[in-house]
Amino acid sequence: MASIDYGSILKRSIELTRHHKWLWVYGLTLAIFSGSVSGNSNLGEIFKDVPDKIPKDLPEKTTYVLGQTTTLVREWFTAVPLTTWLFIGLGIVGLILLWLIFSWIIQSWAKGALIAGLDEADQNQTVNLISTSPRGIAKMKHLILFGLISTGLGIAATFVALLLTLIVVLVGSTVITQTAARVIWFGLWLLAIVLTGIFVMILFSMISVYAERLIVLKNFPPWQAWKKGLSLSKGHFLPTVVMGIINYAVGCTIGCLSSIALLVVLGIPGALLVLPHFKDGFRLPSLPVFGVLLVLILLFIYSNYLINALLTVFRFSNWSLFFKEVVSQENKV
Amino acid sequence: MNEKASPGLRIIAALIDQLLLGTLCLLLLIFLASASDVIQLLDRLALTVMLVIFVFSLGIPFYSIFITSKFGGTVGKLITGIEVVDGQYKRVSLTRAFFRNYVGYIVSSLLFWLGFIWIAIDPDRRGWHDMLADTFVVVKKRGGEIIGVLAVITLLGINLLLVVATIQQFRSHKSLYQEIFSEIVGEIQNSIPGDSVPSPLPFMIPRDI
Repeated sequence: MASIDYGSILKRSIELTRHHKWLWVYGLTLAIFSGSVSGNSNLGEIFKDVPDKIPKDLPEKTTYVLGQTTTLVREWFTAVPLTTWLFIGLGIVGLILLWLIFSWIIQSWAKGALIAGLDEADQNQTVNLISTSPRGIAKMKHLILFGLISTGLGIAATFVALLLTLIVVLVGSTVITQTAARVIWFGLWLLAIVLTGIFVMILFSMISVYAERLIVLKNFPPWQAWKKGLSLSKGHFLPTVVMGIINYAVGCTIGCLSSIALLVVLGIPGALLVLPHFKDGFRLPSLPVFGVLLVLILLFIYSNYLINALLTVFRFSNWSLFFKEVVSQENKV
Repeated sequence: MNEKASPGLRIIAALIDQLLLGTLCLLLLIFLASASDVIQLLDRLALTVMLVIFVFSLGIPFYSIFITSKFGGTVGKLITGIEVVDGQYKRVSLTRAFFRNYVGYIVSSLLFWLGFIWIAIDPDRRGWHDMLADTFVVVKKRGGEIIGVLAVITLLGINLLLVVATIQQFRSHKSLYQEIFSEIVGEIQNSIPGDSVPSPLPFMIPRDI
């Protein structure tokens, strides 16, 4: 198997991302609907201390808050019929389910359109929303079905892992009597399950990468795409891992650097506005200050989304070009 | 006639739709504000939540898709004489209407509504939602600008009256809200020790309106 030229893939991806700005729309859609902000930036690190800052006795304090009004509210809650609460509950659950289905539809469409658009861009064709969106719509159903297949298999694998864990626990608790032996038994099982879990997750991600492109670019039906994706993942495991590491590393680096830059540019002015309000106890900021802070926060969020949009297009392009390399090598063989 | 609707006409149509929605919201607000005690307020709040879930979140979007497919557009577009058509200048299907009005509108509003502003830039007067769904907005009846502006003025007047009515309702039950609010603030201040008592946000304290 010939080695993959990762450098030329990255260079071409940068070119495609820079010159075909219409694809950023799909990148933005995927960035917002995939919730992929924390995967590509350092926001997770920034917010990790937040849980420690919330007072531990907050639930207790809030029960004192309403006093007499609480009594009336409590009486009202008990007086409302159960069917009304069920109705409201079902409505909320229905809304959440509809929103999840809707998000899945949007993601599938955007993925299909982006993969198709990158393919057209690589062939130096004109790329815009009008040329790419119909291809995304055409492949939406198959991508959704593939997602269902993948999710189903993931759930089945998790179920098997839980079942095996139960058997291991039963064996460990009943057959093995010595404490030291039990610790070794459970320790080995924990190591095995964690390593297997990581391997299965990596494999499933690889299969998704190949299968989505097989569906969009080669018109494979969902189940055949999954099987062929598995075959390609097994046959090109190491190069795919390397591509994944490169993608992740580039994404993380750019994400972290951009988050730091944004925090400096937007965070410092924000901090300068807020800090005086902590002098001599806390005072709430005035409306104009509040407005400026809101603008800074919105700018930070939207800038992050834009950077994620570019990174999404870049990553998808890497995978699409890598996929073409792998498929052309398979065809030569 | 396949003349593309101008950005101005589309803005008028959108304004009519938003003002109609605003009218519904203000009527709901008056309904809430006219509660005379805590129990009645809670009853009306529960009803409002159900209306928001079933009518605003589910009903209105599905109505928008259905009416666009059946008649060519929402109320605003019908009043201004413009219509949503597909690439062959025919009525759009339900699927295309769903894609345009749901997926397309969300994508158009992602980056400070740039997808909507694009209507002014594009030679075919298409926003991102039109490009994604391969639709155009064309003029079906002339004179839509005048009727549209009249409708906007009328709806603005109705909304202003409703705003005044809402404020009057809040004022007439001011004592109820002041009582609830001061009870909440008092309990918060009692439960937080020492110097870290927050002052309430200036705009939260009910004043004489």
